[in-house]
Amino acid sequence: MPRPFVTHAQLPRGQAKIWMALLAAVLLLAPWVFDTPFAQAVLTQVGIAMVACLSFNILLGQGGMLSFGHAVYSGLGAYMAMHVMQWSGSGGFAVPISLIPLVGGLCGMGFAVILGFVTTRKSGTTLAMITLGLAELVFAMSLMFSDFFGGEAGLSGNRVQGRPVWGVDFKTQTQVYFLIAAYTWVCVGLMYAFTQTPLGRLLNAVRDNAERLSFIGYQPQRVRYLAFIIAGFFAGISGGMGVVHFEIVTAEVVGATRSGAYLLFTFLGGAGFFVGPILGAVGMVVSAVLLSEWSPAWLLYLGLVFMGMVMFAPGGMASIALWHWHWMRQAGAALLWPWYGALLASAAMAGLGATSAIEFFYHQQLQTLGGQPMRWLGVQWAVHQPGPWVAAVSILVLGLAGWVYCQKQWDRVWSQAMADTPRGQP
Amino acid sequence: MSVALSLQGVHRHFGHTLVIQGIDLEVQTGERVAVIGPNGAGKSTLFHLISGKLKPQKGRIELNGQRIDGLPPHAIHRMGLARSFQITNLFAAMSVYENLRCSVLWSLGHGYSCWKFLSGLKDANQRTEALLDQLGLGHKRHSLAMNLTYAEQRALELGVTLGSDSAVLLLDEPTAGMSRSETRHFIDLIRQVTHGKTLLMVEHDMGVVFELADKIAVLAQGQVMAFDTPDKVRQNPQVQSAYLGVQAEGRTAHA
Repeated sequence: MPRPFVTHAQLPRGQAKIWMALLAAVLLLAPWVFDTPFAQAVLTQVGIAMVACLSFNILLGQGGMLSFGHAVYSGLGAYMAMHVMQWSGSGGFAVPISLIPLVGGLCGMGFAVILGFVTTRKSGTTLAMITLGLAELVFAMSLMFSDFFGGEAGLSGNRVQGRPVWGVDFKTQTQVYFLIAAYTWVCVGLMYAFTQTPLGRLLNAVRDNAERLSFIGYQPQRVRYLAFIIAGFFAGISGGMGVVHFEIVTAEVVGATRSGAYLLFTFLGGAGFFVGPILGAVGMVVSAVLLSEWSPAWLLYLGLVFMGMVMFAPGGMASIALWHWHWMRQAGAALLWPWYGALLASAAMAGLGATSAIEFFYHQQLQTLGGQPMRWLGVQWAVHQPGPWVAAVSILVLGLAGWVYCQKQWDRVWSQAMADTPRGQP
Repeated sequence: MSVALSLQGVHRHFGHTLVIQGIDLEVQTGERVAVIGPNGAGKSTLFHLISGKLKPQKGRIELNGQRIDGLPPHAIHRMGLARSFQITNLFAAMSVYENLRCSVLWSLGHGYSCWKFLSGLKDANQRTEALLDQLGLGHKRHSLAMNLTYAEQRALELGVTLGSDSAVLLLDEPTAGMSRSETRHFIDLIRQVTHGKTLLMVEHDMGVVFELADKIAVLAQGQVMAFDTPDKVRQNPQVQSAYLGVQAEGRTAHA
């Protein structure tokens, strides 16, 4: 019975409340720790990405539906939310800004009701192809109907409108952050609750074995369709949250790149775990906002990490964390600490060598445009000479060799420890 | 006695291959019927036709007097028929408990609901616990279906079929691939849990067949060669020469 994803780990009863309290604490404390407007804007984006990736994982991890067009629902939700915000600001019916994400959610849900019916008739490759087609269709439309989509420039609006409610006018990033944080917390809670309902469990069943589900009284299509609508709702909320935060919507919000990012980072976080997309969302914002500043080669790094994850840890970051948790609790784990440290050092070394080589290469390629000297790790490098290259590649090779050696030692010590300890440990 | 399941002139072919060639069968409510026949006789296809996985090209199938041929599987299930599969067909990445709980949800009226928690569904959880006890899988409740031993998977396969408490059960080779002692144990279990139900079962072990079945249907080349009580089927010269004779003697010698 081959399975594409690592299993769904169920939280023991009562633990969910603890985790939700912890999330609340993190959401409340984060803006005090990171108190610049820029840092708070990054945090706001993390919240938006969390809701988006979690909604995507309702399809991918929980339902086995590989969608290449999830941005259609977050994006169309965003457009509709933007229109409502504009109407509201220009003297139409006044909608409180705090409800704009909800408007996005309802619209995302509406589009999921319409488009999801076609999408979820079949599963697997057919479903993936239909999502891809719909995504292209919507993106093409966004450039054709400029009245609704605002063309190349997109649409912009103003979240500061009307009189302040209880002193809140959304002029500061902190106020926006707390609105988004509140939505994030509620949506995470609701989406977790969904996994504990009959429909949530049937969705896992349809992922594992749709045929058998039909022989115990359920229509697999119906299960997929209902889940798709729910995923569309939360995707739309994330779109609406983005409207409040960015105050602008352009065609990229329904684009293939955005859809691809949801898929990539949900997978990197770990589609088989509820917490996976939350980790993935942090990675998504960190790489898009910070990594892209730090290196022009950031997309290459992202691709390499993704490939490595697919090949060596298909359960994503969450599965790696779970693996750590398991071996640290094993008897005899202490014997492995030195080798664990050595493995980390080897990995760091290989990473340093690889990134140096990549940075040198990028610099040489781009130098034809600029001609600035190469600065890397605070030092100047003469990349037109072989020296730095030899050094980088040597470090990479040494790191890889160290990794292979340490892994062998790890296995040896581990099997010895296993043989020495009595059986029956958890 | 009423008729639980009736087939009239059921045909099914795949391309030019005739697999089921005009089957007539009437199963009374509460009867246990064993379906036997050589490989390729059409036993599994027959089960697929009754349960809605395949549609017959000709003929009529009725469940408790209502026509079911051509209906999708979930609709047939809702009318009171449940089936198991020859090749284990479970929710692989879900625990034993969750597999069973999914199988009880529809019959208890929980539908597709997403506004109540599974942990709060008293009836579903009680029924799941009862099934776990019956199957003897209590100690494996948290194991994933894919990590069970073969015999445990077969037990769970049976459990998922029983979950809905359907009145008519089709079991497709429930003991396939089991050892002799596992089979013994499992047949006792089947006897216990199918008490008072209408049962149609494909089975290869003749010892089991003659012990468990009220009636035997012998299938050969897509037709019913004989359908009668075990004793009469045993004495049927046609069946003896075609299929049963050699094997039955073999079994006697073995015993």
